Amino acid sequence: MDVVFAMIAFLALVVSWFVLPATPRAAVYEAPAQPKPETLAPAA
Amino acid sequence: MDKISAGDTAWVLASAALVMLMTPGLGFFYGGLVRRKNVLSTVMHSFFILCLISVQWVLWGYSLAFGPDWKGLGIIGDLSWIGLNGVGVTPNKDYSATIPHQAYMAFQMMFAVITPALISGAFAERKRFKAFVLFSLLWATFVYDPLAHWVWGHGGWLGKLGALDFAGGTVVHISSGVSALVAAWVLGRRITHTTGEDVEPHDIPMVVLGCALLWFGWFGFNAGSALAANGLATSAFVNTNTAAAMAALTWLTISWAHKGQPSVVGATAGAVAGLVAITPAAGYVTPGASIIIGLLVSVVCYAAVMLRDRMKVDDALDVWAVHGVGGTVGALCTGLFATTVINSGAANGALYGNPAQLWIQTIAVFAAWTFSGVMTFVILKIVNVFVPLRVSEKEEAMGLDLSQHSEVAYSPS
Repeated sequence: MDVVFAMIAFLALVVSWFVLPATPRAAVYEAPAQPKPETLAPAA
Repeated sequence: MDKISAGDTAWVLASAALVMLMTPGLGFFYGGLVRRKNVLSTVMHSFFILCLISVQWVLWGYSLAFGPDWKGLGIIGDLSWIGLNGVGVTPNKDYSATIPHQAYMAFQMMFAVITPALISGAFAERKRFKAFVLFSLLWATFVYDPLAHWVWGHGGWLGKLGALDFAGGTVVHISSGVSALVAAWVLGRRITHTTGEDVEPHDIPMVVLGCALLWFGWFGFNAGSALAANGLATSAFVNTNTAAAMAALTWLTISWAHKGQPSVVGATAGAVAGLVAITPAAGYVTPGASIIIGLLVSVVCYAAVMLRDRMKVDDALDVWAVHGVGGTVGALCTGLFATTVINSGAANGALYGNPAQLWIQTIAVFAAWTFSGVMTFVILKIVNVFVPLRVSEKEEAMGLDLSQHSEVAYSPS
C-alpha cells in the first residue's frame, strides 16, 4: 500500500510543476547603474 | 542463502557514492562551459535529475531495467519489482551473489541518474525547464530502462548475444550521446548564431573542478562495476586512470598542433573522452590496451567535434562528439582488445583470436544508436505538444538563470 501512496505523491509533484506559475523576477536582478566616468580612479 | 561479503558490499556502496558525486560534478563541468547567465540552469539540470531519477528508479525504473524479463523477449523487465517490492538485503544471484540486492540497485541507480544528465549539455542555454523535466522522466523510462535491460538485465537480448559492456559504453554513453545530437537538432541552434554573441566558457577553473570530480567518481563507475573488491576491480581502476590520462595528453597535443596553444578545456575534454571510451572496456583489457584506447578516442572525438561544427548542429557542449562517438570507440575497441587473461568470465576480442566479438559489439552499437536516436526524437515531439521545448528568444537573450529560475549565479553588486 505504501508504494501506491508513494507513486501518487511523486506523480502529484510532477503534475504540479506544470501547473505552477513561472514568473521571472527579472527586475530584481537588473544590472546596477554604471559609475560615472569622473568617479573612476585616474589611470596610473 | 548466499553469504554476503563485507568487503564487496563496502566497495559497491562506496562506488555508488562515488558515482553519485559524478552528477553534480557534471553540473560543474557543464556549468563552467556555458555563459555566466546560464550557469545556474545548467547546474540545475544535473542536480534536478539526481533527485528526479532517484525517485523514478525506486518506484518503477529499476523494475523495468533489471526486473524479471517480460514475456522472455529480452526487451524490458516486468513491473513485479515496482517500488522495490522483493528487492531486499539478501543477494540476487542473477546480478551478484555477494552483496545485498539493494546495494546493486543503489549502484545502478546512480548510472540511471547520470545518463540523462549527460544529454543536458546538448540543449544547454535554450531548453525550457518544464520541457526538460518531462523529457528527462520519459527518456529515463522509455530509453534508459529498456536499454539497460537489453545489456545488463537478466535475460536481456544483447547480454544473451554476448555483447560486452563493462560499465556502460552503450547503455550510458552511446545512448546519451546520440540522444544529445538528436535533441540539439530538434531544438535548433542558439540565437547566438544570428546575434554573433560570444559563447566562450565563462569559468574554466569550474570546468577543471567538474572534470576532476568526474574522473574521481569514474573509479566507482568502472571499478565498482566489478561488483566485488577484487583483482578485476583493480584492473578496471588502473585502466580507467590510464586511458583518461592518455586521452587528455593526446587531445591536448592535437589541439596544440591545431590551434597553437595547449588548451586547458581541451585537456579536460580529452580526459572525459578517455573515461568514456574505457568505460565498456575497463574490466576486459590490459593496461597497454587502455593506453591505445586513450590515444584513439581523442583522435576520433576531436575529429567528431570538427565534424559536428560543419554539420551546423548546435550540440552546445559536444555531448555527441565526446560521449556518443567516444562510447562507440570504446565499445568497438572492447571487441578488439578484450582478453580472458584479464576477465576469465568474458570473451576474447578480435586481436585475441575471436573476431566474432567485434561483430557482436557492432550489433550492440548499432542497436543503441538506432533505438536511442529514434526514441529521443519521438519523445521530444510528444513533449513539444504539451510544453514548448525552447524558451522564447527574449528569455534566451535574458539568460535561463533569470528566465527559468529567477536567480543569478553571481551577484551584480
